[in-house]
Formats: sequence, structure tokens, C-alpha cells
Amino acid sequence: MVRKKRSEEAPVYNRLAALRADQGLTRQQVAEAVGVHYQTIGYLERGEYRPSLLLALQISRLFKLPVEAIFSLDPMSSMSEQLFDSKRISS
Amino acid sequence: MTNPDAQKLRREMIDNVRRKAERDFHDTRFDFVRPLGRRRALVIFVFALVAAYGFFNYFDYPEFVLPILILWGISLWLIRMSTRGIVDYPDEIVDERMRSVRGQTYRYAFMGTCVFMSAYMVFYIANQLMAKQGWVAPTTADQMHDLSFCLFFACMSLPSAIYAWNERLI
Repeated sequence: MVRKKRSEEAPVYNRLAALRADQGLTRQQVAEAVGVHYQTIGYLERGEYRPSLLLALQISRLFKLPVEAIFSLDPMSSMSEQLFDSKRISS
Repeated sequence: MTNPDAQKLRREMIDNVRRKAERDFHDTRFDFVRPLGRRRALVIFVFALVAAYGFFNYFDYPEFVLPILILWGISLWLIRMSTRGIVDYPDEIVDERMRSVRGQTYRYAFMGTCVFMSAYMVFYIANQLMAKQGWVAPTTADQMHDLSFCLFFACMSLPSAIYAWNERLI
């Protein structure tokens, strides 16, 4: 089995930056809450680092959301788009 | 490590290192060498100094050796400060991304060390073979010692240098 290069591996999309901004948290605060360096949060937000399962679960616990609401293998629509879609479906 | 005293000692040591790491991770004194371009320039400078050390020692210019060594020491220290000494901390101190980057760094450093060692051996064997044919003067034991020190300095610089070269933000 040929191992793929890191640049060829499937990216993990996330809406960490939006959630953090929504809750008014700094990278430092999020980092301290989940026990990593604040730059690691930056790398995560930019999609330059794929978190371990443990870190993903810690982040989901911090934001009180399921993991799949924060991380996805497919590009994620913005939260405003999702809100608009859910309103349209309910009306 | 099952001895309770040994476990306590280990915990104390880890706590001390953790406190030092906390200071290092928030240290802004060396921010002037932390931009990627400056870190890379320092890395090039360090290896240029190692090469110069080898050259001047090999061709017997001892007056240049000490200043080069001092410059090398200062430059390597600056590189280590620019990387916040992350390559030296135990796993308990650094987070998972740093551990992953560091693992990659040590892999490259090992490969680099192997390349330097191979080059040294090839140089030695080639020199001996060519000297037997009378094509070149044989390298003396002192010259090989000089080169082995050069090799040592290069290998010692590798982990910090690779981390400083590769990591975009520190």
C-alpha cells in the first residue's frame, strides 16, 4: 500500500473559527480549555492540521455540539446559509 | 518505574519542565528571529559556519576556528530560542500537533545524519583508494578528526535547524 503524501490526504473541514467568534472566545482561551498551544487552534482553523479524535471530542465538548457539527470531510456551508435553509424548510 | 519515590521525582521534574515550557511558549524576547525568513537565514548561516569550520580546520588555519565556533554557538542558540526549545521538551509538555511535527523533524534529522555519515565514509574510502594510486595526498588522521568534529557540529544542529526551517509559525 502506497502511503499518500500529506498534501494529497483528504482535508478535514471545520467551523471552529465561526464557533469561536460566535462565543466570543480567543484562540488562547480555546487552547487552554482543550490543553493545546494557541497556534494549534490557528492551524486547525486554517485546515492546516487534522485533529486527533481526542482533540476533536474535547473541542466538541467545549462547544457543546456533536463532532460532526464542527468537523466534516466535505466542505461546510456557512452557518448563515444553514440557518436560512432550516428556516425555509420549516416555513 | 514503580517505586513511589521515583514516580514523585519524575512528577516534580515534569512540573519543573512544564513551568519552564510555559515561560518559553509565551516568551516574546526572541520574536525578532521568529519570522520564517529570518529563521531560514539563520539555518543557512549555521551550516555555512559548519562548512567553514571544516574547511579552515582541514586546511590548517587555526586562527579562524575559534571565532567560527563562537559564531556557530551563538547562531545555534538563537535558532533554539526562535523555536522555543520545542525539539527538546518531553512528550508530556508539547501538544499533539507539535509532537507530530517534531516526530517528522527527528525523522529528517536522522536521515540527514545518515547522509552526513555516509558522505564522511565515502570521502575517507575514496581518499584512501586514490592515495594508493598516487592521485592525491592521503588525508591525515588529524584531518579526519577535524572533519569528524565538523560532522558532529552539523548533526548537532540538525533537529533545531529542521524544525526552524519547516515550521511556518512558532
